[in-house]
Amino acid sequence: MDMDNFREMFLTEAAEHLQLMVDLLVQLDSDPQDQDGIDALFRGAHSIKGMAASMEYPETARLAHHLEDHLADCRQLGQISGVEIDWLLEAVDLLELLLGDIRNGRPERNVDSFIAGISKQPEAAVDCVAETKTVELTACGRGQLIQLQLQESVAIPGPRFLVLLKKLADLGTILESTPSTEDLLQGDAPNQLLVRLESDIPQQQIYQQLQQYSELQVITFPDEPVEEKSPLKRSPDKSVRVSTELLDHLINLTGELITNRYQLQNALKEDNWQELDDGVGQLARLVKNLHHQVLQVRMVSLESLAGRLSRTVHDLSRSHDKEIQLKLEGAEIELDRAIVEELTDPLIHMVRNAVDHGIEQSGVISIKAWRERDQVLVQVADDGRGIDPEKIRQRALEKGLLNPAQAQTIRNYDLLQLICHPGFSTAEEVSETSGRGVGMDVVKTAVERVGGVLLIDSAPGEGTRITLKMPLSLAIIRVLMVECAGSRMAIPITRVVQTVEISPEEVQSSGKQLMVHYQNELLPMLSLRKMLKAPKGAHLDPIPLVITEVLGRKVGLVVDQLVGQREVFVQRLPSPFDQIRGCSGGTILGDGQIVFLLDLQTLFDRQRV
Amino acid sequence: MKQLLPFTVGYETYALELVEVQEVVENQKIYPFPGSPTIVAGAISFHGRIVPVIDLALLLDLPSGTLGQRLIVLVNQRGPVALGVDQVQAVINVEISPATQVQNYTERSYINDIINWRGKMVGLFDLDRLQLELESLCAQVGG
Repeated sequence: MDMDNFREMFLTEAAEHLQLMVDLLVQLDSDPQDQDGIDALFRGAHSIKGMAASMEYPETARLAHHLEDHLADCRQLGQISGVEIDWLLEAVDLLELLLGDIRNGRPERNVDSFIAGISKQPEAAVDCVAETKTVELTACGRGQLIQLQLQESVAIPGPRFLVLLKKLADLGTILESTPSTEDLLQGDAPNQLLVRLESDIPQQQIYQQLQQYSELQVITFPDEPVEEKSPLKRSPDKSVRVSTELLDHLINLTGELITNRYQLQNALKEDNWQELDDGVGQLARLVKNLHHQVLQVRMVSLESLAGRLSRTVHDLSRSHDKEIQLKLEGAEIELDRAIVEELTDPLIHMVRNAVDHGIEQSGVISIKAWRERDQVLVQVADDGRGIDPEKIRQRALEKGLLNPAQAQTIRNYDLLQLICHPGFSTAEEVSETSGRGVGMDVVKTAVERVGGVLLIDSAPGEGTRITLKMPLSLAIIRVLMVECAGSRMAIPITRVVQTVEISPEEVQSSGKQLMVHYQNELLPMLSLRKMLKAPKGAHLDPIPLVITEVLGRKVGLVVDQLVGQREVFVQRLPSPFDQIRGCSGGTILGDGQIVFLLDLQTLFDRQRV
Repeated sequence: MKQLLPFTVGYETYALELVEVQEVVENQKIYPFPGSPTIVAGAISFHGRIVPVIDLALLLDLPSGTLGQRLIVLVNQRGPVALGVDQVQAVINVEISPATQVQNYTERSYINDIINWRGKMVGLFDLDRLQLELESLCAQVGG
């Protein structure tokens, strides 16, 4: 085993220890005298120190040692204070940054200033932009981005911005700014300024302070810039821990498969059809079992996210001065690793929304996960002020997302789903008026990328519940096969409400749009042929319809023929073809036929443009 | 000295560097896929993978009605992706020098050089550029 392998092992184990320490710290915050917790923290620091020292990472070892000393004192005292917890959390953040340095082959950063008690490390926050994903979350959470734009009439923007920077420096610590003070002094005169400010003052007050400057046209608090990443591209050096029990299962199965092979070979030689038939039956069972076990290897429980979420709630409740309790339920539910990874940011975002806009002074955020057939549902609920549908209605009208007639008839539930519309949430004032919406389109996109669905339910004064319906596994999904314009295509079953066949007499028309009655609702009918720009097909009787839901609205999709359901192994299309809207991948059937997976959401979007 | 794989599209001859080619396949059924730009003829099943096929005749604006007769599957680092052409010819060894170079720029960004090979004009594909071209085409139908 070479040094790289050791390093990999060290990084994995150290990261696990750090994760555990964060969990413990958040728990200790509510129970500061938990002896076992303090002991476990001490052991974590001790292990990291030992490993780092033997791997010769002096700065990491030194910081871990410092933590260990500190925790030894806490152990003697028998308790740990809130201030200490915050300090320890910062130390853990710094350790994560150090691990990031090691991972990227950089020299470790110096920890002198932290140990000497100067805990704020401005360069850490600037640095973290280039960091890997995990580090970015912990470190970029520091500070708040503020974007300022002057009115066009301002003749000399440079000096104005210098004044504003000075004002902001009074409100907190400026971690970075674009352009920087130096650039401004040298006469750089942009029309906007981006500042990362670390401050104890709530956003609202900063906003009020800045509003006093009449020449400011726009004051916004943008979210962290989301790094452009291609869907589901994973960093290559990921390793998976497999329990020996599972590994033994796999080995046993392989053994059985070998036996099965000889059985089949013999049967073939002897022309023994009965035996051959038995053998193939056996093979089918084994392959199914193998498939199941291999998928197990990819499964991780949501528990891995719990620490991150508790930490977010802890930090946010401190910074917003609110009393927030986080309840987790069903964290033992397992999902495909890739889905859990893809879910991390959306969940944190939703928790953040709940703290920012939902909960007023004190409240409960509950995150619940449960299984329903081959789907996993994850719900983020708060008992805050909820969303007022009237405000969304107005907003949607202003933004032209609904015409006045639609705004009259749309149900409240359907209205709520509109906050995920990109056109809806880019407007910054939304966070003021509707209480929610910033970045919800990002959440929705992430959920849909892994084949999930997002539903919002809320009422004024009754809190907000956001439910994500996710497939259990990414690779193998159940689909509805349909035939259209001579091609076979598949629709993920999670997208299908129902399939029906109607007679042409049931079709009504309202203007140009054909409509059909379905369970007391009048649904618009859309032709898949038309959406795929295929020539018009023959007259159908009965008309096969796939009832599906798009942006919270049910529609009837007309196809040539309903073929049936089956499980398929989905391949993503190679880049750049995965960018094509309307198609989210494909599968090769047993006979070599390729069936493409329709991405109805993007296909509809395209239709509307 | 470069090893090139020449092929024809319509009446014109083009070539790729042999190291970029994984396999040449023929008579494959091409499955059209929903929402693709027109130059993407569809995809083939190639050793258990779904490989998109570019209709080079359409891309180059040349007449051709024999799509699917020969498909050049590029190496996996290139996607993989397959190029639909009319005929594939025997591999040639060429020294690219000013003597063989007819023109070192063309109106199509993904045609790198045009060389004179035994009296025949051969356009050399720049696959990095082609990739960029495809990216922008896919993004167009995407965005």
